[in-house]
Amino acid sequence: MEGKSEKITEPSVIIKSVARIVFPLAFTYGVYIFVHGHLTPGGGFQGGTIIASSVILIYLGVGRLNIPESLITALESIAALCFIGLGCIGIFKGGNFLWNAIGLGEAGTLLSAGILGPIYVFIGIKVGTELTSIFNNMRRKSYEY
Amino acid sequence: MKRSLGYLLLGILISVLILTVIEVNEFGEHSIGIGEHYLDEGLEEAGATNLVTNIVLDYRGYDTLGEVTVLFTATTGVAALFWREKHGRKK
Repeated sequence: MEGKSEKITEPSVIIKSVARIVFPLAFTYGVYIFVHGHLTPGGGFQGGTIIASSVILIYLGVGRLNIPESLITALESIAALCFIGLGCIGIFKGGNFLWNAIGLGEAGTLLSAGILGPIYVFIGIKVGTELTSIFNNMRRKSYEY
Repeated sequence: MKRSLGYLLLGILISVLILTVIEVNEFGEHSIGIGEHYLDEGLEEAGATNLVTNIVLDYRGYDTLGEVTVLFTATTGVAALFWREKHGRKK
């Protein structure tokens, strides 16, 4: 499936080595952004975008991307279901949907703000996998021609 | 007759507009107190030190759910578009 164009578009040594150094840093930075979404500026959407762009970077650097589509779809669906499930905690505790039912905790710590932190983690996973799958779809079109 | 009716309507509209402009607050003055409520009590009510997160996820959680749904729909649309072209070319 991925054979023809990869031999044609062999990346240069500079792009290869820089992408291999920057990819783990960018990925970790994206995870940091959405895990700390309730404490510092940033959040799920921003962190997910950084993760997707790091995936694009590793594709540019290495020249191939072997993420199975079922993994991307599964992660995306699980993240969406967990978002809705966390919202349903409020209903089970006798309030509204998306009500912050768990205790708020001490402000400023990582495990504070009840369901807001986990929701941002799931939004980050969802946005990252969605943008990656958009890129995946467009990339697959490009070597069809 | 029609012309005078038009002028009358225009006069009413202009007077209503002028009365509305007079009623508007001065520049820099808030007419709605919701922003100050977010700033003052967001930390106690929602618990996150990032105020934007408080607003986006706590006060407007449904909006964020809709945003995520919009993104999901966009992804589905892109997938559908390219899937069709890919399979159309193989025939």
